[in-house]
Amino acid sequence: MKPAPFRYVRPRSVFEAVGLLLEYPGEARLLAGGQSLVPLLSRRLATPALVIDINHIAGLDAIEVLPDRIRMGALVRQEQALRSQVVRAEVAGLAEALAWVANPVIRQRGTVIGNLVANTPGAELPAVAMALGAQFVLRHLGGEETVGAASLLGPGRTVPPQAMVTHVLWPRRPARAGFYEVARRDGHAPVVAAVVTLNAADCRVALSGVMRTALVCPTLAHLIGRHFPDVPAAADFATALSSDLIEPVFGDAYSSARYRLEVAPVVSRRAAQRLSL
Amino acid sequence: MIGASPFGRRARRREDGPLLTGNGVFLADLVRPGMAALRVVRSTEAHARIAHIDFGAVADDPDCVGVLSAAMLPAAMGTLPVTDLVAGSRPAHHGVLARELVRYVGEPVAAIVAADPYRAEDLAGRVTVDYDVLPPVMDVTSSTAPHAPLLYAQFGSNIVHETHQQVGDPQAAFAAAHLVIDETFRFQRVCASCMEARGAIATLDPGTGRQLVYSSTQIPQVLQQQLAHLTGISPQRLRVVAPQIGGGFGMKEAVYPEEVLVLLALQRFGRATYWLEDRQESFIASTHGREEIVRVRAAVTTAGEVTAVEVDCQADIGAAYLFLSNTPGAAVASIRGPYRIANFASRARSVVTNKTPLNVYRGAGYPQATLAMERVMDLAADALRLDRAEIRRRNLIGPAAFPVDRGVSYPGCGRAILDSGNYPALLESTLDAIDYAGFAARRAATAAGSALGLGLSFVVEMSGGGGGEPARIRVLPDGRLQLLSGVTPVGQGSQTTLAQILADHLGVSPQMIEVLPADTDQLAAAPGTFASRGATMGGNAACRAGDVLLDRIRQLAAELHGTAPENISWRQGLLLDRTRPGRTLSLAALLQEAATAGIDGAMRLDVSARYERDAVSWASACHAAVIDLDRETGVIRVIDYAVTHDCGRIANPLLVDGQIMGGVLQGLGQCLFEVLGYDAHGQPLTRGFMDYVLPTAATAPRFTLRHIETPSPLNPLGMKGAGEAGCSGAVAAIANAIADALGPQVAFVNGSGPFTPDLVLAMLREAGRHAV
Amino acid sequence: MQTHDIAIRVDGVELRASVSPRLLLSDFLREQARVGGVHVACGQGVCGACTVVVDGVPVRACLMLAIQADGTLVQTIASLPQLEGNEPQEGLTRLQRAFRHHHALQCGYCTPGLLVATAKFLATTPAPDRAQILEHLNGHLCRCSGYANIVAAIESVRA
Repeated sequence: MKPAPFRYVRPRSVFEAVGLLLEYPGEARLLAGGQSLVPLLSRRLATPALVIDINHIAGLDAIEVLPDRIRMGALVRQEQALRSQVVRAEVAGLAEALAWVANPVIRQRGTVIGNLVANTPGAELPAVAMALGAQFVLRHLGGEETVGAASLLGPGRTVPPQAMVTHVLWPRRPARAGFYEVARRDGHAPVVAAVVTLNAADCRVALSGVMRTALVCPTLAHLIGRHFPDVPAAADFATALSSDLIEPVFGDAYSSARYRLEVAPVVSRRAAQRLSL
Repeated sequence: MIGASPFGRRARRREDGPLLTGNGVFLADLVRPGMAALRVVRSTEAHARIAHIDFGAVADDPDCVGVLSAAMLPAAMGTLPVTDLVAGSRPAHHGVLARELVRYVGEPVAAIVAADPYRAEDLAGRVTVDYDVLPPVMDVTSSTAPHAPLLYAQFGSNIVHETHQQVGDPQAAFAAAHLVIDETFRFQRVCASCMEARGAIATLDPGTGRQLVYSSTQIPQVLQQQLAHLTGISPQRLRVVAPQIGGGFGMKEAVYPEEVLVLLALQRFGRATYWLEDRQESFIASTHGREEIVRVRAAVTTAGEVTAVEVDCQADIGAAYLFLSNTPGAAVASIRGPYRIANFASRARSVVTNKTPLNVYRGAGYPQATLAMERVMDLAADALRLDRAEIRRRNLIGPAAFPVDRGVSYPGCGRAILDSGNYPALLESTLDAIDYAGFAARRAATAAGSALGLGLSFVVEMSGGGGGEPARIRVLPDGRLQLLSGVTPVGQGSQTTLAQILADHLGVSPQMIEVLPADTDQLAAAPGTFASRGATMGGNAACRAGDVLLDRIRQLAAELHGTAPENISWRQGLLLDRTRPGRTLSLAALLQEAATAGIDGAMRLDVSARYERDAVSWASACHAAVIDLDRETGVIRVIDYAVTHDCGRIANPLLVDGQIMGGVLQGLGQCLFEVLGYDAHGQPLTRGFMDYVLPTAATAPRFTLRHIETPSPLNPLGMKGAGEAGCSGAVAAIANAIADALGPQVAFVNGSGPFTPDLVLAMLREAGRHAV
Repeated sequence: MQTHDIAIRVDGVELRASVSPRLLLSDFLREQARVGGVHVACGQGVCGACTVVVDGVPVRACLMLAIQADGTLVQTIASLPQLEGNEPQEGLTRLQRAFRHHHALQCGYCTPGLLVATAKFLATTPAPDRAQILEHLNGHLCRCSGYANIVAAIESVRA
């Protein structure tokens, strides 16, 4: 468990980092918090020729309040976002989800964007991004573009190899929020997680761990929104969820598709119950 | 002057200072600049013939110190030792490096020695091994099926070890039975998961120029003999030292290929060489535990008396023996637990499969035996509508019945004779501690969707197996005593405990005694640390050596004073000479007197003794667990846990409680979370702590621990072991609590864990009782 | 192979070295800084045994490259008195004494990382409730103790 050799660079600007990605097509990895990348390097599951350490790029560590968006740079740590008053007040569901991510030591190093783009099955933050319709700012040499969460985190999607995600944009949308997840052991990586947010305008729900990527659930959201503050029975959640599934349920060696499908209505129901907390 | 006896005090550990400040010396702390790093090239196939090993240009790399493959080993080099190969066993021995066949993913095929571990891993990655893949067998059922692929063609079978034992007339008991319980339990493969993985260093002893091996091993003395034998050198030329060990639990109780390889590297390449196992490697390179199929039949009378048990244990030992051959033996010897059960029959098999070798893991066979027997008790109680505590009461051996000869034997421990205990008192104490009487009301008050369950279990375990134990005592120039013990420091606090025991025995303060784990120079032959033997065997050996020391002290003092030894008495660390009233002499002063007389007192007072025991003592414990089962998610939480434990006289209750709580958490992990999986091709699915889920603080229950002390008559200190009873009873207590929470209608599909949320919901679904 | 000159202040001692970029901070601290109390157990950030503090932030030393720590101040178990802000008595800080008193360690392999992380945790959360202590301990594996004594030790020193 020692990384294979790589070259290391410490760009001072996004422009420089993106140039390096182009220079090493498909052979460079961006290093921010390292909580996902370094284990892959140590296990030699990732063997990039170049590691681009973006920690010294100025300006990427801020949580900025824009007129209709909260903008987070690629160096915003998970714990920083969790403790941010503006995040708690205006990005419904994100702080609730962050409290479930790994543990405080990992969160102080790991970045919000790193967790999002790793997009591990079951992970908390991609579900929130999908539910809220977050957007990502991509930089490549051609310039900058803003894309929706689904085009980066949806089925079969990934960050284009020569692009860098510099920011995530969260809609400013004060709302009630509820989050819940089940794991093989309390505090272990989530098997199935659900986020629910609700305000006067609408209800949003997304699940992770049911499909390989996060699943937005409009039928579930409608069910929850229609009955709030009551919470319908689990059977109603199961029926609603079946309308929201768009591909076969995913399973792995430890948690079968059958389990995930069975527990998903329960998890989303418990997230809904936490709305009023 | 000395106050209360140090024996039995909750003394804080003398080991803690260095460990708390980062100054503990573990194996990795002994790696020195300039040492070469060894990396093992391991089989990537579960079962294959090695067609060709291509080292390419690896050996020519400037960072490469040397390479090793089976072809480069001496043809005469033997296989790794097995301690208990009983007659009739087939020699499924493990080699140092695979010669023609590989039999599991992870089996060492070659080794690269390089300048540093990074380069060693780079170079090992450049070695290509061509395999002709053979079909693997991945479980006991397919391994014992007709026409199964054979791991050892010459045996004609994958069953490498089989023993039968019988007591009384089980057939007659079954014929007369009112009820027969017949259940099969499958125990998954688990990993001891010591926080410190294994490691070994071979270097030259700076003082003597001899070869010196450091290893994170529970058995340094055994390792020395075997390494010398395997590499063809005299044991006198080799010193083995076990430093501070970051957890053992049986996983470090074997002679492993890597320990031989680092020594070979030193001998071949003349470079001090180290190997530090990484965690990913550890899951395939270090022995696994538990995997076994246990079928139990029990004959029960209308009154709930179990009159006979037949047990069939089939251990899936993986690809070869690593150190132990009779893995199911302890289960056979202990399965009747604390219950009378006069009639008994057993078959115990070790079956080979294409997986990492299995060895003992904390509790060896007891967790399996305990779970099987305790499930039988609950099932019989349910069938007879008897209270679960009551059926146990009706079957327990009474306190006046000891010794109880079980009529069966276990290698290394001899015949199973329960020596002492008070099982009814253990049961009643634990029922009280868990509030058994109040449980029904507590359950009735549970919220919907959640189910409480209470489970009981009883464990008896042999402690102190493995032969006689040596101890050596020296007198330091300042008059303090130095105890050199064969008990290796795996975290159990033996330095503290042994000082308490010896201090009590000699009537001195523990501060007067320094305890050092002995290396092979300081103590030649010691069995090592395993089987809950440290405090009992090490303690009695220390006392024996203490007796010899006192004799020698009296002789020396008498000689110096020109009197008879009978005139010298010893009181609280001081000598009194009856012929010189009013004068006392300290040990330091005695040494000075000796020096003045031209006598090397330290040499005269360097004493050794050996404690031999006739039979092992049996510790016992009654456990109870209360669990909360979330019927909607399948998540189980253990809320309350009670243990009443009897390890005879307790030298240090603080440390015994620590052993029990740590053991319970390991049993909890096995029951709820832990499993080493393989796919159908024999590829391991578990390579790290993200896959292999261990208990954390949040999963620990509230503990109530109690003790009953019935001294063992078999050793002068009246002690019995305490290292394994926590682990051994927990799996059964929690499993019984789960069964209780699920209710009798839910088929207990597996019998053992891990009871993952997925499995729990599957069981509920199967029963069609899934709460809506 | 590419190497970089780095300077890291470890427990108050300035260290300069020429390192390969792939060198993990945990290996640098063990092999080059010769710090004994950084224990590597899992190598992937799960167990917490290698936790150290870098510029005031607790990190897993196995999840950071040594080169990333260039120019930083690293504190290991040797800096526990500073992290805890109290003077050791008989060589042990208040937290260390609590661990000893409550028998919160057995083999001791997980202990230094756990102490470092706990000192930082208590610095930011001086009066944690039980749930907060358990959340903090979620990042630490111990195979010996059964955890109850670790929780008791931390509870005994909270404000």
